[in-house]
Amino acid sequence: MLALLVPLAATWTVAARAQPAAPARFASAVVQPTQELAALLSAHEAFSKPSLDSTALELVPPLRPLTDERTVLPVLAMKTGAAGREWLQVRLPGRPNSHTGWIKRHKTALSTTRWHIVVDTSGRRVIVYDSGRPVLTVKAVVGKPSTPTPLGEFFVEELVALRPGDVGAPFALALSARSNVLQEFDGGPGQIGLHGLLNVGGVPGTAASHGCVRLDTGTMRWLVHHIVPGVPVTITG
Amino acid sequence: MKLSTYRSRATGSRAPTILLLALVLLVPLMLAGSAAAATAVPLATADSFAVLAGAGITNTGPTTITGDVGTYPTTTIVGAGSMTIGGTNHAGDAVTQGAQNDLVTAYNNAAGQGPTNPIAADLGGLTLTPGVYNSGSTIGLTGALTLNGGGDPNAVFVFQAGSALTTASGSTINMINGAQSCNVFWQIGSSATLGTGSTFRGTVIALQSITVTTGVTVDGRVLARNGQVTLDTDTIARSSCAAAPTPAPVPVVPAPVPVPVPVVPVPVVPAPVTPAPTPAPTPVATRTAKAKVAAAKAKAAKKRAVAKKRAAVLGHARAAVTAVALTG
Repeated sequence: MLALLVPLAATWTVAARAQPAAPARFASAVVQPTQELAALLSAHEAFSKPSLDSTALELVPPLRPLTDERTVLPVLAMKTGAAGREWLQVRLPGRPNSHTGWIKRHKTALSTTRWHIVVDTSGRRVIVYDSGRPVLTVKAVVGKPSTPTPLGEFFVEELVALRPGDVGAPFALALSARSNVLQEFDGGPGQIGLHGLLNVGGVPGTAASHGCVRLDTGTMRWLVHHIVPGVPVTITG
Repeated sequence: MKLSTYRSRATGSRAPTILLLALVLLVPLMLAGSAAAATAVPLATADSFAVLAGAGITNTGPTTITGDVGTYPTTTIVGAGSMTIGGTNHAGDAVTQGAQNDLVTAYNNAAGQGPTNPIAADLGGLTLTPGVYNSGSTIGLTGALTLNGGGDPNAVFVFQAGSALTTASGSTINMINGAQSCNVFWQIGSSATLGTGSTFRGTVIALQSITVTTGVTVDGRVLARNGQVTLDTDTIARSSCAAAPTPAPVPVVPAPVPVPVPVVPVPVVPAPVTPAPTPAPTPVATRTAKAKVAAAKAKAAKKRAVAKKRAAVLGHARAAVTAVALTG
């Protein structure tokens, strides 16, 4: 069934799946074969260090704002602190871009993902990795020079099913990235996403967006069937 | 792009933060007096699997599996020749890959359910009512665990283990008062081991490996996300829910069949009338039971079709509950 959903566009490069491999490198991106994820089972206070005495950075809610899907964050490190309390260093959504913090391991559910998305803004393409190996390369519309797509390490916050008439339909992968130029956009926080071309247009392989990454409908359908919240996204220049 | 107004973010002012904190504190208090509500874990395409692994399957001795089998990304199945599979061996095909993806969602769903009831390290000798039961570390079972459905065939039991699940040799799980294995889910933070000769019920979703030791009967599924599944002369049958009782159907009185009026002019030649065969009388009780089963099957099939259609279209995406205002 899934095979029927995968369009046979000329721009696609689908490689054979293989065993986990050593980290793959693309431009400045290092793609690990797997990434540990933490699903938040309750709201978590993020701290600057693995200690309750350190600076409290922000409160991370257990659900995402657009879909009420559970918050899932990439885990960068684990540490046991005072009183044997276990801590996770996680990447956090929003500004400043790519920021991290420490949350308590308690009330989280750990899992791993094999998926990793790389957005190559100079090549104006998106590469999807499975277990460290590229399985999909597709052209994309990226941010224009005045509103560039921000570079850095991010993750998929949530996957949104849009209505047929919505801008960017049929789907959007809302990222943890925020525009470095637009502090607010249409009432939103300048959130960057990977979304479709419907009702917004654009030619894949060009730099014409406000910062978001636009992909053809077939690619968006493929992504929502493979990618889950928390999957890391690396945006390179 | 703007579809409507945008909700405040946690990174913004402290007001929403305080509101969230209040909600987080209040909701458990409001629910404290009631049992932790558990809902059936949506397995999606993993539903058809009795055995699903991430790092291969190793079987020793004659093992009988009712349901599908698959493993991905490691696709090795050792001892497949001595397995009797009453389903499809998908090995590492696209169906298995899809099921592994859906298993992530199922795992997260099970892990995220609450509010939770804390449980002892060993469940032996306990009788539990429907709900979500949580152990921050291991869950063990020595002897018998009884799950009491309270007369509700849809009663759901979700067990969350921060680390391992280990059942002792000869341990059992008894289901009473309508409880069904299809509605029992075990979310295991590391690995699961089912003891020799034990009887286990429910769907195990383990982050790492699952070892089903010698002579175990599993009325459910063993689904490992990243690790191996090891089997040894076991019987594993994917559990499906029996039909929920439905109200007794109102007897249908067949409407009288209109007799066609001949329009042929005189002389009228009456057509030979063949008496309609009279169906053999069926006992009312048998007819009712058959109707119940048929209705339940139709309802389940419809539900599966809707879920399948939805999954085929939406994948892991969810409809927006508020504004979507990306930069476009």
